[in-house]
Amino acid sequence: MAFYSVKNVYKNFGSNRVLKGIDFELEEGQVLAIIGSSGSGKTTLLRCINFLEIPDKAEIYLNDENIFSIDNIESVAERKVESEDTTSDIAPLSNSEENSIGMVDVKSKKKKREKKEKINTVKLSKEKQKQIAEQRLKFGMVFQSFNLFPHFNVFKNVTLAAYLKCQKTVAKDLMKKTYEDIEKRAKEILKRVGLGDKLRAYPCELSGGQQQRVAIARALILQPEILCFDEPTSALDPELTREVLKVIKDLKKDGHTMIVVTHEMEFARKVADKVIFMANGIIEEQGSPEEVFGNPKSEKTKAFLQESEKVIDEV
Amino acid sequence: MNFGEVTVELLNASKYTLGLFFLTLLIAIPFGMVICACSMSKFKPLKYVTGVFVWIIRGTPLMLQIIVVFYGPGLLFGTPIKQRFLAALIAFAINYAVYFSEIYRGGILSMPLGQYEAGKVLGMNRAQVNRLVIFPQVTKKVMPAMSNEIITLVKDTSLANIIGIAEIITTAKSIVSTKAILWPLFYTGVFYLVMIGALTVFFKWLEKSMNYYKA
Repeated sequence: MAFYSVKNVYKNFGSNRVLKGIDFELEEGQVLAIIGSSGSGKTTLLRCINFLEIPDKAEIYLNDENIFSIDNIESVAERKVESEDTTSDIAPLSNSEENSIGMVDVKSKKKKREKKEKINTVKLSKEKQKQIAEQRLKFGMVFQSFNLFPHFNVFKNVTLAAYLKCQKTVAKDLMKKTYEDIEKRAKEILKRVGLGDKLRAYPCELSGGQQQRVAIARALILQPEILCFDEPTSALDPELTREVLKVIKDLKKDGHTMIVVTHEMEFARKVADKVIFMANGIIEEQGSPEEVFGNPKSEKTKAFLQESEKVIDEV
Repeated sequence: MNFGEVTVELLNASKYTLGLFFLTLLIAIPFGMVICACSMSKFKPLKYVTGVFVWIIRGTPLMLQIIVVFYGPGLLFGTPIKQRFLAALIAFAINYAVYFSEIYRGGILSMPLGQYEAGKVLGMNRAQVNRLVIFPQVTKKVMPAMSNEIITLVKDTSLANIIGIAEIITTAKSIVSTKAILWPLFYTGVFYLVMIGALTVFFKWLEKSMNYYKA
């Protein structure tokens, strides 16, 4: 079986079916690029991988171990029938909600939100929550908007999670040694992403590209099995994009397994070992970059790739 | 009564003003956090009860609240609060805690979701995210609103004269009525200006000391 495999991922937000059965596999050391237009479910899929969203149904395997299984699809469907009138679309806390119902007056918005919360939050058992907390650390996450902690300097941003983790797992008398190890490793990682001289800087003093590289370092310190990127360069200009993508490329050389949601087609073509094109909550096409970019089988893929080239031509 | 004597009298009265001010802060700052936690609670009944409480406290004059705390227990249960200062302190602490709680709530709501998510993916539990990520940033965010509210508190202590606490205004009024001179009442303004001047300098310094990062 593959190093990492995801089976049958379903996710609904209210009555909006965002993911409708996603299956894919990934080998160790490979880079997977997920492409697709906005609203195709790429980001939701990545967030499900990270357990930032809990899928309604999914089976996830890592290293031949079933790390997470869930099947709430029926209870979610039932709840939906109970409250037919909640027609709204996106999760209570997702960014896009503001846009989608921004026009609705505040009161009905609130009502809707409360109802939506009811249908969306299938209560997870304590066991499941514990399982998620454990498994989550195997997946590093780099966000589009960096989400660094602005009140900590670069070094603290990177080391914090590792400190907290060892407080839980390491015996008291070994703590000092462990702390020193963490500090050493943090310095190495920061050097690796080209920020060896910025340890004491605060995020507000850094450029977007530097901030994103700190975010990458912060995710790396926990030594995740798989590193996930959610449009890591969407907030950056081309020059800063280049420096971030270079870091990702370097990480590939180091043997990191990565899943990258991206709009950078060139990057996907050159760096990825495998490309997934998503449309309307399903995987429309997957394969090697040569297959997907060079010889797309699906009409939708063709249209999408043509569209993205057209944009460049028109400009 | 000459200028020096009035000054001494008013300085003497300042200890009630300052006492009320500092003790109110000492209680209201942490108590406000409790109220804030209640009004943001996921447990709906607690949330609604707190909402009504906040509405009542914000919806009635502080002066009335002082009167209610001072006279209420006596009228209702026959056990009057003997100490005027304690009654005023209770009323002030509750009133300001409610206002502080709303400032805290605003600060917490203004935190981007991404900060919670970043904490989550780094393996922090909810308490750790709050303690290490959210609260330190909220502290900085609420500083301007808090200093505004705290400055208002200095002046609001004068409301305690309604139950005869010998703070600055009460003292000045009694001088005015017993010695038939009006200026001590105007002179009280200087005392408030000095106290608030000191506070302003303090808050400027505090905000500056938090300026090592920008959100």
